[in-house]
Amino acid sequence: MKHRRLLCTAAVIAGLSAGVAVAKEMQVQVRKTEVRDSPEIMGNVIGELGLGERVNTLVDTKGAAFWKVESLVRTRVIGWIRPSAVSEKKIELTDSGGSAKSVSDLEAAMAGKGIAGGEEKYVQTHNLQNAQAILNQLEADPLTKISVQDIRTFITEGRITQGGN
Amino acid sequence: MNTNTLFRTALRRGSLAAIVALALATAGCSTIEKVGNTIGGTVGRAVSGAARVVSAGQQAYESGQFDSKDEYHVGRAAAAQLIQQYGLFKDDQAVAYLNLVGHTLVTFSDSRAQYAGYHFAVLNSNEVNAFACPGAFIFVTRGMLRLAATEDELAAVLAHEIAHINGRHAVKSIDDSRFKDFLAVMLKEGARQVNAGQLADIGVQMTGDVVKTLTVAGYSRELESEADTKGVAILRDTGYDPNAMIALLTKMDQTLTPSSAGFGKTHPDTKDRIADARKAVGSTLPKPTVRERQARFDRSLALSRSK
Repeated sequence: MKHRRLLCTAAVIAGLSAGVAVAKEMQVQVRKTEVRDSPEIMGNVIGELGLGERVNTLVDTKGAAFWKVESLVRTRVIGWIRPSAVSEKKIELTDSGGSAKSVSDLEAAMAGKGIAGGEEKYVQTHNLQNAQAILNQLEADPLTKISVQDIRTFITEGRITQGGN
Repeated sequence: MNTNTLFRTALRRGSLAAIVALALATAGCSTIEKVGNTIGGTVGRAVSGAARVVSAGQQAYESGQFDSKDEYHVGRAAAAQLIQQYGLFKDDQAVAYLNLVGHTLVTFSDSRAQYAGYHFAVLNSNEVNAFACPGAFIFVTRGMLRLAATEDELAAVLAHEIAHINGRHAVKSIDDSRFKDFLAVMLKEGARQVNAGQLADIGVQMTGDVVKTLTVAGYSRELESEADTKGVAILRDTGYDPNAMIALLTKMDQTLTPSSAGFGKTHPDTKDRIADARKAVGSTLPKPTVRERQARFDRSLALSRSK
């Protein structure tokens, strides 16, 4: 019995020192983030996670450029994302009646609260309503949405070569 | 609610970040404290870490109290101010091209995920200037597009601005007293709902600080140097010619004077910056112009660069 306990303790210590990850629940803290099939800059995008979506981290090495996560909301969404896209900070996912919120509901619920309220107040104080509307158009403009495939094509056409010319 | 009650509330919630933030908020803006690498870590880490200077701004950011969404809203207000001041230049070809160059650089940089992603656009101004607002809104003036003669030089401008975003330089320009106030409010129960008005006022003050830095005061020489050096690294990692940064700064040095509007007014002496960029580029030889790249640069920016 004592032997077994010692062995278990040793196994845990060995596991920890070898960097074996323990799954950690986190939430997406950006509007959306791409999920890649490999921990590489130009890895294929295989899915997307939205604001507030809960994930389990499967590989979350500190300082790594990508972490492997699994969505706890959608089945079969497992892949690599930027660590800064998720946070341990809690984002409320249900309304007062207990119903699930969509991303737009979440944003609407947070609108005008905290620093977001500062944006509105600044805009009103400085009469920037027109400029804010133009900014909204810019944010929604499809020309500002660039995919990994767009970047691949752009690099090839411009003969941009990493590590050489 | 007094400090002791706040401390107990934070303890009950198990929020070490809140406790440390509270300690700093009550101790002063910039205090040398013993803290761990991450404020959200364990107590053991927090008390055994190395000594370093911790500002309220750092505390707010590292504890997750001031997050990427807050940064985005400060940036949106600042961006609206710039759009009001200069006007956005409507040129779909240029917007598409700027976003392709920009997102390519972002992909190869060590960029943090931004709340709503990066957006690049052209400002209708003859000033030679570029701006990086928090939340990753990057604007380049038509004057700057005329000064850049190649895609690699344009990439140098954008890489410099992306480095400002990655370094959170605009947020760092916010007076630390704003973050001290912010943390004090956030520690109260249900802060975002109950104290919405107070937080909105703090948000207005933060935006004012950012706008002042972007349009009047400029960044410190250290932050500009950091943006140039990291910009060179981004150019190199992406596959652009890092010498483009030197070429662009040299043109600025020849064109701009401290009394010039825009960049010349808000940026430190370009001779120092050229020296820093040379150091970052090292012995890398200039790359020859790539015909296809030059052709798309000329074609995509024809309207925005026209007089």
